[in-house]
Amino acid sequence: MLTRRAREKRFEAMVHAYATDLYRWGYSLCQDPVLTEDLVQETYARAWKSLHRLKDADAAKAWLFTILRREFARHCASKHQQAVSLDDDEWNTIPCPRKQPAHELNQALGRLDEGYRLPLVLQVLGGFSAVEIGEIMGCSPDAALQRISRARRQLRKLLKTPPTTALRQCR
Amino acid sequence: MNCFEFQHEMNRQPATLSAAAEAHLQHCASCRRRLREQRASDARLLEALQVTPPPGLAEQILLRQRLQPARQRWPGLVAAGIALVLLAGAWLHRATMSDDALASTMAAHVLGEPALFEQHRPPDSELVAASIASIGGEIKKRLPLALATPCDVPGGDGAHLVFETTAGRTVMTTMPNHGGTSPAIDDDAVVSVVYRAPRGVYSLVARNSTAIKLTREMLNTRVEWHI
Repeated sequence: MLTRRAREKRFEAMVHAYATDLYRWGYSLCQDPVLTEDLVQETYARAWKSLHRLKDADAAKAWLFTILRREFARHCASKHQQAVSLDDDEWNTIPCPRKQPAHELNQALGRLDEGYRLPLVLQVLGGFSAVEIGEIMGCSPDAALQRISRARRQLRKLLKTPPTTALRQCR
Repeated sequence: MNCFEFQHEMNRQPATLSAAAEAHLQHCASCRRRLREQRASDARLLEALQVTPPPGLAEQILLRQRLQPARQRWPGLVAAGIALVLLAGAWLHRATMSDDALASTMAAHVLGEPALFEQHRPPDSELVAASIASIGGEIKKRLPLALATPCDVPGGDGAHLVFETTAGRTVMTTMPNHGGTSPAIDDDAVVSVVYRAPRGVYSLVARNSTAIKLTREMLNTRVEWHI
């Protein structure tokens, strides 16, 4: 078992290594800087409490990304006054308003179906493997790959058409 | 490796290709072009995702972590110790705790469990009936419950029964082994009232006094108290 000091050192390393990527991941989920900061803070608070469960230090990044995704789902669930005992699939379908990003490519990205957009962001931003993306998204690696391929196709298509909506689904 | 296999690998892990994939690239112009396009597209995408975190984010996270209490090294032992202290405390509590303290203790206790005001779960009807029976009541008509959960209240054998009212939620806590009543706590954040029951007491904690009043009226019409 790690001493308090060892846990602190490990945690500190995780904060310095992943806080920025985690913030970007959070921002890609909600497009809201204030909410993103809260999500990141809450993610690390939960991670600190559960640090003893993280057996493999190499899995820390994927673990943090997973916690943040769940935090966001929890936020959406409470925002819509849904029961908090929702499982992953139910969380995934709760609509949550998102602000429309300014950057043209980000705009197109924001218009992608959530189920396709997030695996792509995880691959490009996080550099995760299909197995890790599957774990974070709660799907199989093959399904993650399929979604990434579709995301790339949709993105190419969307970059040729104007935006129409700002309402997206939490995922 | 053929083009199909290459594309599959490129899709799976575009940043790091295997030796076989690299070898395929040497003699396939079409796949080279695809890889070049995808990497260029990913680079643009990565650039678009580069939002800047607020300054001092890492420091804030670390500060918050340092303010949190240390996780106990021997949770089992500590839990057992706490349980012993609680048992002793519960025994002493009946004799020494002032009535005022019980109402504020229950307010703090309930507010410390925000899930009681947020969660909604079909309650276990046996637990509900047993909790009401433990303080000398019998349910005559279905109670509008959002949640029911056991609770280690002073004296033990308690439960939280969470009611929905038109003025918000009220958390009832049954304390069959506790005696005495208490003046109400009523401030901006919470209202807490302790009522005497045929056996022991129960507390009602809510965000406002209307919810308490509605719950009390509902209990008096739907529960028969065996005095």
